[in-house]
Amino acid sequence: MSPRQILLRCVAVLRRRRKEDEMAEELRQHLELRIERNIAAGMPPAEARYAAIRAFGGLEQIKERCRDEREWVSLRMLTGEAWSAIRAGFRTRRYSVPMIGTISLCLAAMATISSVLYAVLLHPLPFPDADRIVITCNLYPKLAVEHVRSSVFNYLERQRVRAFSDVAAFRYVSGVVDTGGVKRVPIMRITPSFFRVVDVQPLLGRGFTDDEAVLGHDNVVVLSYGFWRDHFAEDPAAVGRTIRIDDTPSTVIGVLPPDFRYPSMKAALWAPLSFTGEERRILERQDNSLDVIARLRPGYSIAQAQTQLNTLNELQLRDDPNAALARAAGYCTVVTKLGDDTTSSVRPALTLLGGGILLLLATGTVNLANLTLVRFTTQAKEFAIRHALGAPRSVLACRILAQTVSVSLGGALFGLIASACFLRVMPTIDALVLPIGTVPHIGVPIAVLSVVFGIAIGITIAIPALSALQQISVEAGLRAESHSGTASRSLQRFRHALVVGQFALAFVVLASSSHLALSLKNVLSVNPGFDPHDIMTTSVDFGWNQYRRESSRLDFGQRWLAAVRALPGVSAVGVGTSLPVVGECGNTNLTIEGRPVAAGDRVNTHSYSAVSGDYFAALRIPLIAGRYITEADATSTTRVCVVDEGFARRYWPDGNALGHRLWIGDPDEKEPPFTIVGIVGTVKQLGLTEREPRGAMYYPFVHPLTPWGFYTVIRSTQPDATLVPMLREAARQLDPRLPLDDVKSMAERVSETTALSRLVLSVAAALSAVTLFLAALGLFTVISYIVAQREREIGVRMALGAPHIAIATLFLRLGMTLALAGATIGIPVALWVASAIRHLLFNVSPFDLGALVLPALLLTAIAVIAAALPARRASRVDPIIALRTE
Amino acid sequence: MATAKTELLAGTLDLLVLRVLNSGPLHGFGIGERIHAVSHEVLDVEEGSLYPSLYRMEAKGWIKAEWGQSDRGRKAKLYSLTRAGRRQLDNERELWSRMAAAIGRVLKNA
Repeated sequence: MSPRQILLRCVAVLRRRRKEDEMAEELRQHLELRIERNIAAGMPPAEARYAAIRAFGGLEQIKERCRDEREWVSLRMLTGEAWSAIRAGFRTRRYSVPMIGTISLCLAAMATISSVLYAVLLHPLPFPDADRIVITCNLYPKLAVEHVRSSVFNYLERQRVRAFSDVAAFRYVSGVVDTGGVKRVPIMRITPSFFRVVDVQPLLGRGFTDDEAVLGHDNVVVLSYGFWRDHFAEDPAAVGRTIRIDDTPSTVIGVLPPDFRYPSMKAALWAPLSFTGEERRILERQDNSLDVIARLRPGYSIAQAQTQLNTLNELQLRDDPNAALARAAGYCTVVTKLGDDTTSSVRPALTLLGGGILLLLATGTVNLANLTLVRFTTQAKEFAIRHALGAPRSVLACRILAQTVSVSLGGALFGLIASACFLRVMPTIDALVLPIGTVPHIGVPIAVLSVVFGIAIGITIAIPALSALQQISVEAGLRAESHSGTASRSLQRFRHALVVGQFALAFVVLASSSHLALSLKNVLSVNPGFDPHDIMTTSVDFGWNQYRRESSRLDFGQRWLAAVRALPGVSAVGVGTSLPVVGECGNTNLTIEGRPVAAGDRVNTHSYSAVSGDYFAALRIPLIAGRYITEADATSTTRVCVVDEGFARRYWPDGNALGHRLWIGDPDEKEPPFTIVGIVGTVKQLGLTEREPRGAMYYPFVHPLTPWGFYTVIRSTQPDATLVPMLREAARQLDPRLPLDDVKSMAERVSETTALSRLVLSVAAALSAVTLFLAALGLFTVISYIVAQREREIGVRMALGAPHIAIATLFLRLGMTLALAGATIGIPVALWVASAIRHLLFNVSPFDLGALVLPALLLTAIAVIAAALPARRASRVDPIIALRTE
Repeated sequence: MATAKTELLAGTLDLLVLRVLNSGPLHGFGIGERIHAVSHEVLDVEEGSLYPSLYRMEAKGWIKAEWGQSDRGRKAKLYSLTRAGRRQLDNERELWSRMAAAIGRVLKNA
């Protein structure tokens, strides 16, 4: 048959109704012409009609023969067969309902995760041509400092990179806004080029002009959509109005669109970023205080940008007075796609979940393949007879495929609906962990993907039944797989293999979840070096105008400490520029007196923070030697400091760190060094999983280093509900225009650092439960089927005196054997997975016995339960009834 | 209508239909009538053979069908020969004459 004929015949099938009408019309006319001819020959009309019909013969037979010539017969049969199979699916709910259920479950999970993957990894940024936006980050590999931000000088010098058409910088700050009650809001300070780089125009008004990035002209502000809605009720007249930020009036010049959420969905206000002359100096080149992004010039690639930036860095190091230090640290800059950079924190976890979903799909598919095979064997007799009567295998295969594909497409549809519903509820959970507030939803790509997967699964699960169909023969079909004989050996082995495969997959998922669970358990049992319980924390940031004078900040700190200390139930209170674990601690190099850094020396960076009050006592950071820092140290004539144990041991392994002196950063004649007066316990600064604390130094609020804001740590047994209002009132009495921000218990802050791990673990646990359930269902189906098949054999055995328990044990043992075989195959795979996700695991070896033995035991237990029901039924077989059936 | 129905030899109906259509487009009834008339009422084409043959040749692309006006001004499905059909007619005619000659020789000389 030529392609044209195939096409014509397919078209004929598709345009069947019209063709049928035409054919009927043509034959009717033929008949009429014949009648007319008969009348013309002199017959009476009635006689003429009968004669014509007689001569014509069977109308329907002619039509049928014409159809055979016209259409593709097999295609017509196939479509008919498919429809009948689908109708049969509605009748045999015993098979179709569990199948649709399984597929919906698998595809709902897949659609949900893939919509997250799609939103986060493929379309992370809501900007035009977002692929052309890059971020430049400085690296100091020899200090083990990866991926830090850039400096003002970097921003200025990188404008010369030819591959960048525009370079922008931003810095995330905050400010106090007076909108009927003072409130601290996040503010994004951006260079005027920012909106050009991301290529987004404000919804109302305009962006910043280059003149507005000059100190003194920068009192203009662009509102986020959320701020405009909350404080101006979406009034377009907001543009042109004035709002006070940190007591400085600023003119509103624009409003951003609602979906604008980079670099943070939380930013409420956008203000120009202006630089002081001091900040612009090359001396500050390594002061990485802002982010620098750029848009690639058309025709330039990331690789070219990287090369040009490397050349620029090399060139600039010639004039850099700190070049030696920068070289020693291995200073370099890396250009990354902005989208990749934004999502790098969640990428490994999401990839892991994607892998988990694939395992779930595999388990589900194996399960369904098994169910399809079982169903096929119940139809085998019918198929054998139809085949013997002349139905070609293709038609029978079509019936099987129509059954599976229709069911899996139905499952895909239900799955999509379930997933869409789930995603509506989910944003409350994922806002915590997804970068820049990405909201995943079921769009066209995910719907298409689900349908494609639905069809693919439908075809895949039909494969075992289709291959069984190839071996079908009347004689074998009538004999085997009937209740009177035993199952055909190869089919049975195949079904067992499928169950083993399912258990292997379930084992892998379960073992990986156990690895994750053990890892989280290890993280949670890490001793952070302080006691996070019963601690309330809050932060205060001073505005530039009111607290410009250092003494005013110092004074506020002292009065604040006194006020909080006087509150009922407060046992200790302290302030500091950082909190442990939260990872906000600054780091720099410290220079120890008498130990100059020689050329080629490895430069180490350490945490440093200013503290006052009973910071250590409140956090219960133990004192190892010497004394803590006190409030009096702030005004004392000698500069003192405290270092942590790790720092002391690194530089003074013999233990006499006390009395030595050091500078923050490089030695400076104008600044006196700090004398070490105490050694305190090491705390985890960067997070619970920090492996090698980099050593910390704490110094008092001394001139000129009195900070512009600090955290307060309050140890109190008061419930939060009474403590927090008291704190707010105390702050209000000191300065009504200075709001308390970020009031949170320390335990909550610590818990937030593990939010992603906990989310991943809960998804992994859900996946394990589902795969385990599917495996159990698969085993149950197969053993039930075997019991039904062997009812007669069981009857014979019982008639010969086999005890009930022996019969039940037969099937229980089979179930356990299959499950254990699955676990055995799963072990190497699970080990491989565990080593592949090493970077997500904390202090867990892939060979951890608990993570392998417990899942194996659980699997066996589940297998016993799944096999117990059919085994019980087997042991209840009545020999007389079993032998009499047929 | 006391015509002795003469069974057509297998495979010759297509040839006859193609030959009739070679003289111009015609509807199904007309084709049957024409064969009947031209054969001096010896050959009578049954509808049960004619229409499947027409549909088969249409599917093969030898003839094409169009709805048009019949000679008496009523709507009718008219069949006409395509280029492939004309080629086929030549082939079959050639084949037929060789076959007829061969059969004739056998009948005469055997």
